[in-house]
Amino acid sequence: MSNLLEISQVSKYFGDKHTRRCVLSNVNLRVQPGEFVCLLGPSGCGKSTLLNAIAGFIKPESGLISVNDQRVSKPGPDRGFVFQKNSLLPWMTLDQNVGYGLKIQGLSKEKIRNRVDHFLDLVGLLGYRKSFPHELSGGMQQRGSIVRALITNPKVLLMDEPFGAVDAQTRIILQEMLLGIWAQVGITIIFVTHDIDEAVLLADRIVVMGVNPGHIKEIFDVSLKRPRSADSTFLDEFREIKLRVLRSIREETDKLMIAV
Amino acid sequence: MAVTASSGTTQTPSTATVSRRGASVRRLLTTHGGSLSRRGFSLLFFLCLWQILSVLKVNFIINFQFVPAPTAVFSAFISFVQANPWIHLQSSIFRVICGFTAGSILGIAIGLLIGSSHLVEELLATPLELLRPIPAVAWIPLAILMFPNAEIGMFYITFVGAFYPILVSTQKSVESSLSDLLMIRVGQCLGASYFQLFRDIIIPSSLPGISAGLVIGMGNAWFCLVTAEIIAGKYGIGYKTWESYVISEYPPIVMGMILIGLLGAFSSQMILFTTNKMMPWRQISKGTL
Repeated sequence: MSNLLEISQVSKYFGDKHTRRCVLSNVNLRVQPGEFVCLLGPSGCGKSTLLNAIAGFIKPESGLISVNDQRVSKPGPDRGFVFQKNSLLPWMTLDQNVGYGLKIQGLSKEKIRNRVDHFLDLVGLLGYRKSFPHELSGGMQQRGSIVRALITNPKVLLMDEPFGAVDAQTRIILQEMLLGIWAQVGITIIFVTHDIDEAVLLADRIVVMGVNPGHIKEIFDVSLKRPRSADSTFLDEFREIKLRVLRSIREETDKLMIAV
Repeated sequence: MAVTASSGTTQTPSTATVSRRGASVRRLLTTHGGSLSRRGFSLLFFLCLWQILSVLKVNFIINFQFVPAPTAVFSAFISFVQANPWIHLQSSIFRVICGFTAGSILGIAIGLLIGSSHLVEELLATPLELLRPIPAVAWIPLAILMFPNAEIGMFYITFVGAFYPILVSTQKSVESSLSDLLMIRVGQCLGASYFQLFRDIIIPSSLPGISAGLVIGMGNAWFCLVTAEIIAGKYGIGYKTWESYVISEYPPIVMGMILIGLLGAFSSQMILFTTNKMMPWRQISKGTL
């Protein structure tokens, strides 16, 4: 099977010529269609930078990123993005937000409406279609952002700590909801998080990233059987993987401590 | 002293009613329903103070000897109303509407362009910035010389008043919308073209700032009306005010000032009301933070 996402020899520097600093060094990664990959690592490991590069928000100095054999040079609708928080446009109602990508594509009002209703139903927000974002809870806003990104049928869904700003109970609900949608839609997901439990629960593969400079340190396969739910976190296998990932990350955080 | 004289005459609570009065005053200051009565009370208090100061012809730092009392202003208003006021109101309102409309169309259009394009900014910003600090009154001679008739000169002066606040606030809010990377990335990820980004993201997120510019611009247009109508020659509230000053008739001056204030406040409120209707999505939590 061909790769859906291919990242080869990607390096990225920040700063001008005096403060120049390498944030990603020689990153290589291949992702299969339908795979759920979590990028995990301590802050400063470049996981969000890598995601932004896949999205096309920033350009790496060297290397190549391609999605579906198309070289990434700028943001585009083939890559859906779910931001950390507050990314629904405040001046649009929920249904306008979710349908915005379809409106851009020039679909008819009726088609947009049908598709928006279908996707809002998928995340249990049909009753809130005419609400403005500020009238919705943080969890509802994130559900809205997820379906807004999914509605245009992107090849890959890029998620940047999407549940980092919601409370623990809501996070579990959102994680299970995401797993359900992923199974139903069959989309490829690249998910950035710093929460090990979240990564083990969601991912097929966990890409642990290291610091100074940001690089891929180790990749773990998570063979935990699906469908998974919050209950899966109590399985021995879950704990065993979590421990291995934890140790790997620990080496990186220790490096940060010494550096300080 | 002026202030003690007034407070002595307006607040004379007798000892027997002090506690009851205290309670009602507290209610007036704290309850939500008291909001309207608080506003009414402050207006009444201000008018009483003014009446007293002018009747007593107080002359301490500020000289009230020639300041007409509210009652005199009111009789000036009555005689103004009896002598065909509509012709003055009509001319003034028409001038303000013309100046404001032209000011908002050009102010918003140029503001959007300067705010979003370096090239347009480099081409237009410098001359506009140099002209901006020039007060309306300084434009009078040129306005007379440049335009075919006085009417257009007056449009121009009210236009200048409305144009700049609208221009600057539009430009600044477009710049700050453009610096909001998150919102722009949202649009880019969904495949929005530059035009779509502008229409669906930059302009809506700049609306609160543009609206503020429109409210200030409307106020400024009225502000410049008296200046503009110095060259009127016949009709207009500003002209009436200026003419009364020239012939040393004081009550109509104050009446003209108050009329302009009222019309200006009213039209600014209309702009505020209309633009707020366009932004039902805004969440304003004043005093609840």
